[in-house]
Amino acid sequence: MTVVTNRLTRVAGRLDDPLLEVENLSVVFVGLDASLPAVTGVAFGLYPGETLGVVGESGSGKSVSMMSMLGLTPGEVTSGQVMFDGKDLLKMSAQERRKIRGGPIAMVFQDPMSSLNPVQRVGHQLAETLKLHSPQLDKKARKERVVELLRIVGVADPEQRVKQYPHQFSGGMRQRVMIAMAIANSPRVLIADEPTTALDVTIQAQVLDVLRKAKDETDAAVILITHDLGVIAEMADRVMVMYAGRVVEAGSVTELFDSPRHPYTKGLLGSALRVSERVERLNSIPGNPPNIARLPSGCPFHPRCAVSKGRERCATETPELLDIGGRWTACHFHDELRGAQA
Amino acid sequence: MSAAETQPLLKTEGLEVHFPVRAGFFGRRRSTIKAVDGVDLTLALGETLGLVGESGSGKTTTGRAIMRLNPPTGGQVIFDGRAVQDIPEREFRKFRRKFQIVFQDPYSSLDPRMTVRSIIAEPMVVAGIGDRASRQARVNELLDLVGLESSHGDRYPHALSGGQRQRIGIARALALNPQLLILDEPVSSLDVSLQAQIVNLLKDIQQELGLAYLFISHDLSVVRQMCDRVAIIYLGRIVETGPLAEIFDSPSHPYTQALLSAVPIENPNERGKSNRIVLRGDAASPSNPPSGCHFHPRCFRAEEICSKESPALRHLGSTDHSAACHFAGPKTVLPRA
Repeated sequence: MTVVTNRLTRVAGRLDDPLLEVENLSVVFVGLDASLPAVTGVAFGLYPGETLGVVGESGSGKSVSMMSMLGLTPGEVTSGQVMFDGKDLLKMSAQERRKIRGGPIAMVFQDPMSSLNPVQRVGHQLAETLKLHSPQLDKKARKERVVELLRIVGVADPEQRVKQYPHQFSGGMRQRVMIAMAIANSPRVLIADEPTTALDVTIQAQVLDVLRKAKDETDAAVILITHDLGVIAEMADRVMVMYAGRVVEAGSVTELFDSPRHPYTKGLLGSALRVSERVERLNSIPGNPPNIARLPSGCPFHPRCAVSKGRERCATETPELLDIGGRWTACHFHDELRGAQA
Repeated sequence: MSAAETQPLLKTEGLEVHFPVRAGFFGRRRSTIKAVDGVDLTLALGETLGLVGESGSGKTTTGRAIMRLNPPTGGQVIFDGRAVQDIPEREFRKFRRKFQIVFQDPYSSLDPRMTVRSIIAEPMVVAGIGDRASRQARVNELLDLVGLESSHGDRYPHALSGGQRQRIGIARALALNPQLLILDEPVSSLDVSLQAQIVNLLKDIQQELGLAYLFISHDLSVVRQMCDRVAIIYLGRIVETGPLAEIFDSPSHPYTQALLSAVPIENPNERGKSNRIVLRGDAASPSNPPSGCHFHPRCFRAEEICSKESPALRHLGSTDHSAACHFAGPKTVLPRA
């Protein structure tokens, strides 16, 4: 057996090193009269070539944790380290981080309309990324690369399309442009934040295909942030489930779907509306997601939990994320879910 | 209960909503956006009809036209045996009590400066129903019906979560005892764990009050859980309609087939096993729809006739399942991926 140096960022059985190693990341939103814990003690490793799905409901901290690694949230990072290429991203200067963003770590956001500049031609915007991060290319080479990128993401007639403005593109096409922009500099990590949420289902299927292709083309590791379990089932190799700013469960995608070991994951999978079959009475998780200004004591999920059933330990003691044999869960009573079906 | 056996509560016949557009210098160039272009629907009491389509398909405009929020430019809406557009404005205000709408966004559809209690009571105040005390009693009844506590009534919308706000939207719509609720994407903006709660709630309310629902949605999984019958709309026209199970288990129109096959898988073990139809391109703009069948440029079965002739909605077999496709049949086979 290999010596596992860090039990939260290393996957048992994998001998290579993670590309990105995040430990104990905490972010607070500083308000006038209180500091709100948006992200608490997040830890994970991202391995080369894998797609890590990050799933959670609105306000679970899934976007904030990923964006704060890159200095892109208004929140204040209060603890943690994010190792990439032997350096801690959180200790970098703003200028150093700017070199990383859009270069070795690139992003695709949910809303392609507000992420593109409406008054610049699409080709120009793509060339701009190349100019910043691939200075070895001359003007002609940039132009060729832009056309090539649009072809990779399936934009028809790219020589003409580079001269157009974002409003002349449909939602799905704009999202393709965003993906082209993200892979322009052959990133090693691609963070996609709800990349298909704003799109229709037929277009979503297209864009997910493009994302797969873009990943193959660049060999990047992907962090896919989504609330949609279907997208996770389609795309992810490993999954991290977040609730109230914490990682509550992580593991391989099949483990999580087939035998969840956290009651929240189980509830989420059980309440997902299915298209394949009509259910007369849907399972649902009672109550509402917590407000980070008034987090419950102990385990933040305990008031809605089907396993806790009012046990005192859940209300007083916050469970830590524990390694339970190559996967992780933060539940005092995870043993009771052993062998559970979603 | 099927619509054929009973007198339908709601019927639209050839419903059209065309928006004039002015473009060019001084708006001299005129064109029309045919948002809704000849839609026939029927809906009986106690029944849920799903109106399913992607963005820009005209599903919301259809709902709004039924409520006269966007006046129809053609066709008829018959509610409870009366042609809605013939009712004079004064009388219509009273008539409109019978059908109410719940909007998609529970954030922008509630007045942030009103308490929950006054939001729910407002339709009764506007309609001049009851006195203060009886209205308060009705508000408490409604809060209870939608699963909120009467203490929630004294709060403001900002203090409530998305799911709770949507419950308020539903309570407000029910305040005047309508017979029909138009539900415009009522769970789309909610988190996964709350969607199931609201679907269950809507089903309970329907069972208790015997309402008819027109359920407008782009989300096929919600439609599967909610509806009795389904109508699929594409660029302002119904392309397929029928009982829920038929539409989902044996879709006949290529668009319905593509739509269903595009839904993400439910378990990672199904990866690579699904027969996905990935459609070419995007839906065209309703201001300039393709000739013939609107779907033909994206269709995997299209032949020459499709670009020339617009297919009419026709019955398939013996049920009330129909599709508007030259090649639709009960045995349409999905193409191999």
